[in-house]
Amino acid sequence: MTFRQKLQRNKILKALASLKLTVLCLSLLFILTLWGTVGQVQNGLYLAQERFFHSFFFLAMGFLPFPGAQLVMWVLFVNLTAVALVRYAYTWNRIGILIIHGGLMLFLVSGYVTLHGAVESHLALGEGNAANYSTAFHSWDVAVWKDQETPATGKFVTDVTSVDIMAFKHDRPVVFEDQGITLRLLEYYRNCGAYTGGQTDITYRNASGIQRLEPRGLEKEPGENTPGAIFQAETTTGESFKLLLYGSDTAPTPIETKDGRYNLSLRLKHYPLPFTLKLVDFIMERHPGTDTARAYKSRVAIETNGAWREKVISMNNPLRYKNFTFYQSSYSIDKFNNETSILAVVHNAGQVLPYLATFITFAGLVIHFCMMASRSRKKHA
Amino acid sequence: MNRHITSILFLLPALVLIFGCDRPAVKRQYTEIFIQAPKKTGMAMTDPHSFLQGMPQDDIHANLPLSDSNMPQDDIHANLQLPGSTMPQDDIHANLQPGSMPMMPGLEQSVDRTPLSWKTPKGWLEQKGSGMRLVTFSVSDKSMPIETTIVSLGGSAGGIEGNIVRWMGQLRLAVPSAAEMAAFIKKQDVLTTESGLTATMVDLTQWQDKEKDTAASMIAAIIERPGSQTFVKMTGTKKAVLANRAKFKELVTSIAVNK
Repeated sequence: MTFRQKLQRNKILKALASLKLTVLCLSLLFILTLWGTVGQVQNGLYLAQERFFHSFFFLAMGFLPFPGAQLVMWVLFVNLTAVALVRYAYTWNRIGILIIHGGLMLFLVSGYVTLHGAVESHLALGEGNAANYSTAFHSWDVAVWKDQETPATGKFVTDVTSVDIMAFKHDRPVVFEDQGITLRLLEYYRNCGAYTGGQTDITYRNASGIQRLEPRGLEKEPGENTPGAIFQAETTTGESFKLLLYGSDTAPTPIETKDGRYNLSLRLKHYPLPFTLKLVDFIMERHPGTDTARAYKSRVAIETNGAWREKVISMNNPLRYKNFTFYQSSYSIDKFNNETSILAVVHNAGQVLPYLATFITFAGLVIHFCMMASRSRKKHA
Repeated sequence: MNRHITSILFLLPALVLIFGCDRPAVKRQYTEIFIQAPKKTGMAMTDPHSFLQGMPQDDIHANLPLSDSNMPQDDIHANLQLPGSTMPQDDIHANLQPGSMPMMPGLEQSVDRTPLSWKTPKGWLEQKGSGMRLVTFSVSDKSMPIETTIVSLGGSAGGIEGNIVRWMGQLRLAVPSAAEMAAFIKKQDVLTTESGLTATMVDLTQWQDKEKDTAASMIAAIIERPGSQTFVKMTGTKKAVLANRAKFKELVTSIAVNK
C-alpha cells in the first residue's frame, strides 16, 4: 500500500477533507464578512476587525459563542490541505484545478502572514521635514535616550533603546545595561488620567510634576486610551526612586546615571524605516469657493545611498518601497500656513503574497478553462 | 499512521506552550533621524483657533479639543506677549510628530509646573486638565452647570487688575474707572490657604446686581506664590456661580504646593 493510500484510509483526514466542511467554512466567512461590515458602522473599524476577523471566537448577542474568521480560515486551510492529501487525483488532466487549489491555499497563507507580520503606523511630516521612523497608532513603549541639546531647526540623530510596555512585569525588572538604569513595574494603567495634585506622601519623579494617575475605563477606539505607569527605578549611581511616566506627558523625564543624563518616556512606539523620507511639498486643491479639500497629495523624497529620489503620494496612489507602503491619510495646516502631511505606513514583508496567489489562481483558471474548451471541441468534432 | 498524526496533534500545542511562555523583554535599539526645517511664524491673519475647525478627525488629532470653548483662551493667552498664538506644546500634543504641531515657546515657558494639590469639594467632578489647565471641575447637577479650572503661570501673569479687566471684558461688563476698580479690589475677600498661601477672591457677580440669574458670570481667585500665580476660575450662570461660591472657597483654601 502506498503512503497516499494509507493517508486516504485515515478517518480523521477523510473527515477533514469533507466537502461539507468546505461549504460550512465558506458560508461562515460570508456571514462574518457581512456582519463585520455592518458592525464597523457602530463600533468602528478597529473593534470590528478585532471581533469578527482577528478572533478565534466571540460571543454573539453577549452569550452565544460564534467562530471568528481566524478560526474559520484555519479550519479551511486544514480542509484544503486534507483535500490535497487524500481527495485529488494528480493527473495532467486536472492540472488547472490543482493550480487553483494551490492559489487558494496561498491566499490563506498570505492572510496569516499579513495578520502576524504587517505593522501599521503613521508618519506626520511638515514641509521640509524628514524622518527615518514612523509612529504606532496605539502600541506603547518605554524609550530611553541620551539627553542632548535640541535646537529649533537642524538634524537630530538620537540612539534610542526601547521596550514594549506590555513586556514589563511586576516580578521581573528590565535592565537597560548600556544606560545603567533598571526599571521594575509597580503599577500600569492602559487608560488613565494624570494629575499634579498628589493624594499621598509619596513623591514620584516626573518631568511635568504629575503625581497621581487615576485609572479610567477603556475607550472603544484604542487610540483614545492614554496609558500611565509607575516604576521603581535604580541607577548605577546608587539612586533608587519611584518614576512616573504618562503617555501624554509634555516632556521626557531625565535621569542621571554614571554615564550621563538620559531621558525616559512612555510614548507611542517608533518603528525605524530603512531610509529617510522627506516631505518636499504638500499640495492641496480645494473645492472652488470653499475651504473643503477636494484632493491632496504629498511630494516626498526618499534618501537612498546619499541621493534623494522624489515621488508623489496621493489618495489611491500610494508609494511602495522596500516592503513599506505609504498612503496619503490626512493633513493639517496651522494658522501660519505651515502644512503637515500625515501618511499611513504599512510594513508587510509578505505584501507580494496576495498578488502571487491571485496570479496563480488566475493562471489555474485559465489553464482549466482552456483544457475544458479543448476537450469540448474534441468531443463535438 | 494514526499514532503519528495523534502524536503531532499533541506535540504542537506543547511546543507552543514551551516557547510561548516567559520570554525576556525584547529591547529594540535603533537610531532616529529627524530633520526639522524652519517654520513660518509671524502674526496670524485669522482667529487663533480657526484652524481647529479644519483639523482632520484621525488618530493623530483624536485627543485635541475641537471647539474654542474647550481651549483655555482667557487666562492663558491675553496677558502673554506672543508673536501669535498657536497650538500649545502641552500634554495633549506630546505624542505628535514635531512637524505636525507648531510650538508656542513663549506660552510653554510661562507655564508653571510646580506640583499642586487640592481637595475636590463634595459634589464636584474632577477631570484631567487640558492645555495649560492643571485640572477642570464640573458639577453633577446639569441644571446649574459650572466649570472651574486651575491654571498656574510664572511671573506676574498680568497682575490682579489686568486679569480683572480681561475677565470683565469676557463677561461684557463695562470696565470701571481706576478709582472704582481700586475700591472693588479692596472689597474682595483675601483668604489664606491651608498651606499659608494668600488668595485674593474676585467676585464679578458684584457687578451684576441688575442682571438676570441666567447671565454669564464668574468668580475667580488669584493665589500669589513666589515667582508665579495660580488662577482658580469658576464660570457659569450668575445663579450657578453664586450657588457654588462656598465650595469654590473650599477648593481655593485647600490648594497647597506639593513638597
